[in-house]
Parts: sequence; C-alpha cells; structure tokens
Amino acid sequence: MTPKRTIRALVAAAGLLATPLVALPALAQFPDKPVEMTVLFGGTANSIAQVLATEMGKSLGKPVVPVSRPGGGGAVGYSYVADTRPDGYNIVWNSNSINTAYHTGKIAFDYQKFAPIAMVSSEVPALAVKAGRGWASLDDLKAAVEKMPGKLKVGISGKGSFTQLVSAALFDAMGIGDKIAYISYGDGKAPVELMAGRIDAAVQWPGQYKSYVDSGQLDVLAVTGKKRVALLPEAKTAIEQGYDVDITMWRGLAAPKGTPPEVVKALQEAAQKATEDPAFEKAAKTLGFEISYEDSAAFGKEIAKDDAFYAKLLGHLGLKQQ
Amino acid sequence: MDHFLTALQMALTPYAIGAVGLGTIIGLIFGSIPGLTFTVALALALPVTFGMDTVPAIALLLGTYIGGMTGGSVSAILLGIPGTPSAAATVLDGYPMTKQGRASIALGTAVIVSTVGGIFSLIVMIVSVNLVSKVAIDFGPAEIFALVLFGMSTICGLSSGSLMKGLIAGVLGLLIMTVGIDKIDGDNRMTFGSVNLLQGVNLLVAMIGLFAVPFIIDTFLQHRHGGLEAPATGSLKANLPSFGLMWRNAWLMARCAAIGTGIGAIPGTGGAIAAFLAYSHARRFSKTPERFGRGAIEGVIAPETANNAVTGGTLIPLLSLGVPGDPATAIVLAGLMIHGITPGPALFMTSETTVYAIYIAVVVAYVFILVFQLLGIRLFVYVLKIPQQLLAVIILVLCVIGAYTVRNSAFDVYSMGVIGVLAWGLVRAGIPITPVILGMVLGPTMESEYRTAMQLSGGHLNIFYTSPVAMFFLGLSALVVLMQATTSLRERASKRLESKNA
Amino acid sequence: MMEHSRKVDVAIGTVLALIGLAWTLEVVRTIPAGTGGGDVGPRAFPLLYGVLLIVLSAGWALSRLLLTGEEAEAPPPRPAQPSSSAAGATEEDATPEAGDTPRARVVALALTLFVVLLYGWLMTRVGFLTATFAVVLFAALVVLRERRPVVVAGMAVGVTAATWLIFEVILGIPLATGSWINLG
Repeated sequence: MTPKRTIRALVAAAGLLATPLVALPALAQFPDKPVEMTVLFGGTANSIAQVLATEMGKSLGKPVVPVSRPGGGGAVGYSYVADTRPDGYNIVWNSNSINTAYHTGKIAFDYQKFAPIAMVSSEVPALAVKAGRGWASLDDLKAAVEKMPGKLKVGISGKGSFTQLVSAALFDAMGIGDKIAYISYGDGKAPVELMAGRIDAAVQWPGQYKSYVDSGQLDVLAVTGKKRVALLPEAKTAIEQGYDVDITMWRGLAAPKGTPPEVVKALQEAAQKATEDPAFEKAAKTLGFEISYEDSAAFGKEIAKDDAFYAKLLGHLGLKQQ
Repeated sequence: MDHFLTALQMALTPYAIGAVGLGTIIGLIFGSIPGLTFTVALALALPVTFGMDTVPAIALLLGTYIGGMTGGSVSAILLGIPGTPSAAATVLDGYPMTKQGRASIALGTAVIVSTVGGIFSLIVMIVSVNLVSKVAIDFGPAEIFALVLFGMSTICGLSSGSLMKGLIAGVLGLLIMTVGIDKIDGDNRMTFGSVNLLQGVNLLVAMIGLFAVPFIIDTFLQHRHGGLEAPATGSLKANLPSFGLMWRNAWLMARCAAIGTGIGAIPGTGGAIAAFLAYSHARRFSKTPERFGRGAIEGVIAPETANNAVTGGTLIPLLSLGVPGDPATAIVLAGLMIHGITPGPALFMTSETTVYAIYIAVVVAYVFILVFQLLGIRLFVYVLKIPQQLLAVIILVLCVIGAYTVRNSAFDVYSMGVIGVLAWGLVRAGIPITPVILGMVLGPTMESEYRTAMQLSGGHLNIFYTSPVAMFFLGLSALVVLMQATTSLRERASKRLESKNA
Repeated sequence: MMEHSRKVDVAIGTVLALIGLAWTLEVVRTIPAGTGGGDVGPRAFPLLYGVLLIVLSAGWALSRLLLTGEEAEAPPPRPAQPSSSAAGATEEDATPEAGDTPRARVVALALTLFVVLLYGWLMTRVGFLTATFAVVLFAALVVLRERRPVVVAGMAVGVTAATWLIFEVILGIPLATGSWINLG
C-alpha cells in the first residue's frame, strides 16, 4: 500500500544501492514499519482506538494497526504487550484497568512495567434503571433497595471490571453495598437486559444509554464524574446528589518499559496531533467521550496517583488481592 | 415517504453504489479465499470509511459483510475448506457435489439461495423490526442457553457414521475453547503460564487448521507417492441450476430463511448455528435423508439460505437495540457509531432516512453479489484445473497469511499447524471434523449464557423451567437426541439381524 | 481388516480417554471452583467437558472391545481424494492407495507441520515476502520433490509475487515484518 516501502523493496531486490542517502535515514527513523496497537476491550474502547489509530497513522507515515486482545479485564492484552520488545512497534491502548487489573490480582505486574506515552480521552460511567419504576434519583433507589427483600441485580461488564468497581464504590457510598448482586454481561448487552427487566440497574457507558434515554425507555440516575456528561446533560452527578463518588476512566497509550525516549516522543506527538484532528473531535461527540490529552510526563504522574487511589478504594471494598 | 425518497437519493448516488460494489468485491474475495475471513476484511475496511460520508461508509461495510457471508461458500464447495465458520455446514454436501463434477451447480445454487435468504430477511426486518426486536429482548441468558444447546444437538444429525464419534468430536471442540482467560471471572484456564495461551484459541485460526491443513497433508502424501489423480477437468462446464430445481425447493428455502432470520435476530448466536440448524432441519424433514452428506443439493440450499438470512436478522438487534450479534457486526456497529448513528430504539425516530438508505444498500449489495458471483463461477471452477500439489502450496501460503492476520501473531500460525495435524489424525481415526467446529462456535456462548443465567437466578434452575421459551428449546434438544438414539439403536439391531442371517 | 479397524478404534478411544483424564486432573488442580449459589465459577464447564470426554471415549473403546460379532460402524474413511473426509463423510472406500503406508503418513505429517512452523517463525525474522519465497522453495524441492528448475523457480517466484501483489499492493494488509531484515 505504501509506495515508499514498495520502491525500497524493489531497489533492494535489484541490488541497486545507488541511493543509500535516501534509504538509510528512512530506515533509522521511527517508524519504518506498521505500529501495532493492542486494544483490550470491545465497544467504545475499540471504536476510539480505531479512529485514534487511523489519525496517528497519518502523522507517523506508517499505519497504526489496532489488534483486539480482549479478556480478563485487560489482563490478556497487558500481559501480551509487556512481553514484547520495547521498540515502540507494540503499544497498548490502556486505561485505569492497568491499576485495577494489578490490584485485583489479574496480572502479576503493575503500571511500572509500561512507559506512558500520552493520555487521550476520558469517559464517565453512568447508572441507569428502566423508566417507570418510580426511581428518579439515587435517594429513591436507596430507599427502594433498603425495603427490598432480596438483592438489587446490577448489570456490569464482568467481575473486576471498571464498571463493577464504580458500582461497588457508588453503592458503598450509598450504604447499600451489601444488597447488590452483580450480573456480568459482555458485548454491551446490559441496557437490553435492563429493558427486558431481567436486571434492576446497570452501570455502563453513556453512549450505550443514549438512544434508550432519547426514546424514554431508560432513566440515568447518576454519572460518577465531577462534571455532568455532555451526551446526557440531564443526568446528575453522584456528588450533586450528596454521595462522594468521583471516578472517571481515562484512556491513553503506553509502550513496554524500556522503549527509547525519542520513540515515545514520536508516538506522543502523533497522539497529540490525532486528538486535535477534527475527525477525532467529531468521533468524541458521536461516541460520547471527552478528549483529555496529557503528555507522557503528566500522564505518568496521573497513573501513579490513580494507582494509590485504586489500591485504597479496592482495599476498602474488600476487592484488593495484591 | 419523503424519508424514503431522500434515502433513495442518498443510497443511489454513483459514489454510494460504488462503495457497495467495492465492499461486495472485498467481502467476496476475503470470504472465498480459504484462510482469509471477512471479519478481517471488515476490520481493514473500517478505517477507510472514516473519511467517507455516512451512507457510502455504511454501504461499504454492509457490502463487505454480505459479500463475505456469501463468498464463504465458494471454497467450502470447491475445496471442502469453509471460508467462514458460517459456511462449515455447506462443506457437508457442497464438497461431495464438486467431487461428482457438479461444482458449478452447487456454486450457482449457493449464490441464488443466498440472495433469496438475504432479501427475505431484509423484508422481514423492514416489515417487523419492532415486533422482532421485542421478541429478541425476551431472549435472556436462559433462553439463549437453551437455543444454543438445541444448536449443539444437531451434532446428532451430522455424524451419520457413529453418534459416539460425533459426540467425542463435539466435546473436543468445546474443550479447546475453554483455554485462555475466563471471560467472566478472569481466571486463567489451562494456559500453563503461557501469555500466548491467555488469549485462547481463536475460532478462525482453528477453523483454518481443522479444514485446510488436512487437505494440504493429504495432497502432499499422495503426491509424494504418485497417487494423485488428475484434477477433474471434465466438470468445468459452468452449468447453472435450473429454474425448476429452485422452484421445487422454494418451500425449503422459505423455512431455512425463516430459521436464519430468527437466529440472526437473537444477539450472540450468529451464522454458524443458523446454518447447522437449517442443515439438520432439511435432513430431518427430507424424504431421502440418506442422500445427505453425499452431494444432496438440499444440503447446500439449506445452510446457504440460512446463513445469508442471518445478515438481515442481525441487523434487527444491531439497529434497534445496539447489540452486535457477532464479531463482524461489532465492526459494523463501530462504523455506525463513528458516523454519529447511535443504534437503539431512538434510531428509527432520529435517523429514519439513514435506516432506509441502509435497507436500499443491502438490496444493492445483493444485486452486485448475484452479478459478480454468477459471472465469477466460470472463473472459480478453474481453481479445480490447478494441479493439486500447486494448489496445496498456495493454500498453505494463504492459510498462514490468514492465521497471522487474525491477531497479527505468529503464535496463531503455530497453533493452526498443530490443530491441523491433530485434525488430520481425527479424520484418519474416523472422527468427523464438523462437530468440532460446531462445539467451538457454540461452546463459549453456551457457557457464558449459562453462568449469567445462574448469576441472575442466584443458582436456581427455575430460571429455565419458568421460561416457556427455554423449555421449548430444551425439549426440542431432548427430542432430537432421543430420536437419534432410537434410530441408531434400531439400525444396530437390524444390522445384527442381518449379520446373523448371513 | 475388521479386526484391525477394531484394534485401531480401541486404541484411539483409550488415548482420547487418557487425554480427557489428564485434562480433568489439570483442571481440578489449577482452576478455582465457583463459590456456589449463583456463582458457577470458571471450573465447572472445563471439568464437565473433561469428564464427558473420558466417559464418551472410554465408552466407545469398551463397546468396540466387548461387542463382538456385531457389524461395526463404517470403517475409518481413507480419502481417495485429498480430504474427502474433512466433511466427516464416511464413505465406503476400503482400498488404500499406493504409498499410503504408516511411514509415508508420518513423513507427510511431519513435513507439513515443519513447513507451517518454519513459515511462522521465518516471517517474524526475515519478513513475510522472503519467508514466503523460502518456504515455497522448500516445499517444492523437499516436500513435492520437484526437480525441474523452471517449475521450482516458477512456483517460488510466482507465489511470492502473487501474494505481494494481492496482499501488499491491492488489499494493503499489514503482513509480518522481519526483525532481522525486512524487504517487504
């Protein structure tokens, strides 16, 4: 596809080395072959990765190829990338899951196994219930759960997933943490299950609820960030409703530890350019995430800060394994 | 009506039609080449659509999806290597037809019934999307588990030789797919500390190994010892199936199209289960079931109608609920979302025009498929003229490319080789391969739906017997197994009688 | 003939049952069980499959061993055409072709596996195109024992050029790049 590479192949094959001055610097420069971006989750994570990879490929001059390695709350992909050669050709589309996967015991190594490249986006989980159940706020839900004989069935994305963590923190703050039964759904099925009435509530991403909220079939009771979400402007934050929960998921890029700084720099610049592209801004609107670019150094600090935060939170919720 | 006219204008621009055509060709190529799968084609096409307008972008993706689903039958029929898991059932009778010199009839039939199935499901979707999506919502974990179990029970109909061997093969398929990180609890299962095994065995990689590698081994074996027959050049007349043949099977096509649409509408099931259910349905209700597996045209009609009817079926939960039915539609979903079309109940209010344009694009895609494939048959059959040993080398290269591109991993190439060698061993031991692929396709869904159902009910089995739908499918599965067991017992008894008399 | 196929069946059934046993033991040893109630846990299904494999294969082996005098199922198919059996069709076809001896089978099997593994390993080292060229060359010379230079060269160059044209140029699929050298 890339004429440059093709031409170089032909030149090399014919043994014509008359143009070493053109060919050699190109070989030494990063990247001289496609960069592989490991994607840990489906759904929005995958869609953002697709757009980001396309835009980054444009500025890097070599394609960035997203490869899906889902499973184990990110454990599969992290283990895979951590094991690859630190040359910048294998990067991971990471998230807070690096912190949670370590502390819940899914992976044996923590964030320090990776060199941060850049933070790219952030998303805020939201709690939704079926419309018409008479629950308009977190307080209504709390009152109902306290009177309920059994447990509240809450749809999440899998045991130890970020959505379960957020649910646990939120319900714990509401004082109903012990009356919750978690139901795992893959493939973004939780809103449908909510509609069918098989579960009582779900903690998922705003983009998944959007259409149902517009059609009046689901109500979003709370979002868990500091600010409201642009996609669902009616939904109040948990803090507004008097529960101190502020958890946002960031997503960014990281490479195996030991990747040369100039390579990290090149990737960081490509990521920054991508986030400033109108196509990426459009995708942010339609997919329902916020662009929050931070450079490698700031991103590294953020991850370290989060690691301490999640260690404490998971310990408090009794989910911490290591 | 205004919406419809606007949609016509949007979907019938030369640009949009060109996008559908391009997508269809890409899908056909990836679907029909053994080793390459259209899920990979969709993943490659997705970034291309980012810079396009909404309707051509969706049209390109849908064209690829539908083209790939149809193209999967080509290598299934010609070489006995399915191009996609959905075409695995087509091998059962399509490949024997090729060996009898009826390749072009099988191919022509596959294209025509695919189109019939696809258009049928599209009409169902247009007419009853609201009704069908309401029914689809009623399929919770318990119901889907029961349905998938029913799908597993078709193993009984696939293993004509021995029920026992078929079941062993099915269990092997189920077993392989549990390797890797558990999707629900995140525990490592049978990974032996290997990072590569954490990812689990990829279905597409295993499929390539199961069907293509034994073909390569056998060809090498026979070539090395001079036992290779000349390719059947006498059978290269591009005969097309007669109108009468199609007409006689119209009722079968209608039933299989209904099966495909219904299965497709239920998220988490997909083309392979529909194709196998349709195949076993056709066999069970045939007056001459003994012809199946030996080149019965009905054995091509049933799975091909059903797997293409799935394309329309999956659009129902995709558009009306935002739930993708399989990895391929998950990519279509990403394409929709990125273009600002958020699937879900509100889609039909907010983007009615786009929805109509999607329908029109599907119709256009089938027009392209009919034209390309019917013209292509003349070329496809020339594959049979390639000397077998050269063909085997080419297929080897294609399979390695295919296995590698699924996840960009050389480990997948190694697993394809190892699985292929084991598959060859199974074939030689008289254990059929098709149930293995069935177990692999259905195993993960079956397990995760059962476990989610148990989470929902708190461990009570009443989630199954309080659901009429679940009980219906569980009952059907039991019925199929019972019928098969009695038939094989009776056959055994009559054989014993014969051997005593002899 | 009959006796021989029965022996083979019994042997295969036993091997599969042993595999099932090893699998089951490893599952019990390494995968944690569910906590009960609604938690089925990650162990239940692999365990069930392992036990099923033992029961089915052992049952099959035993039935073939014990039920004598009974017309057995069709003998294992020997494909007259390559992979006629891929579909699992059990065709009545008992005459083995010339050269289809156990030794020849092992050789063909080993060669094919070797070629696939070599290919996978090579392409991550020297890039996809070089690997393709080398593997096709190897397959033509060693596996197919082709001795006509024109045919060998034609195959290697033709297949490599065709894959390059289709995958790199037309479809633009990112193929493996080499870590030692890379010409693709």
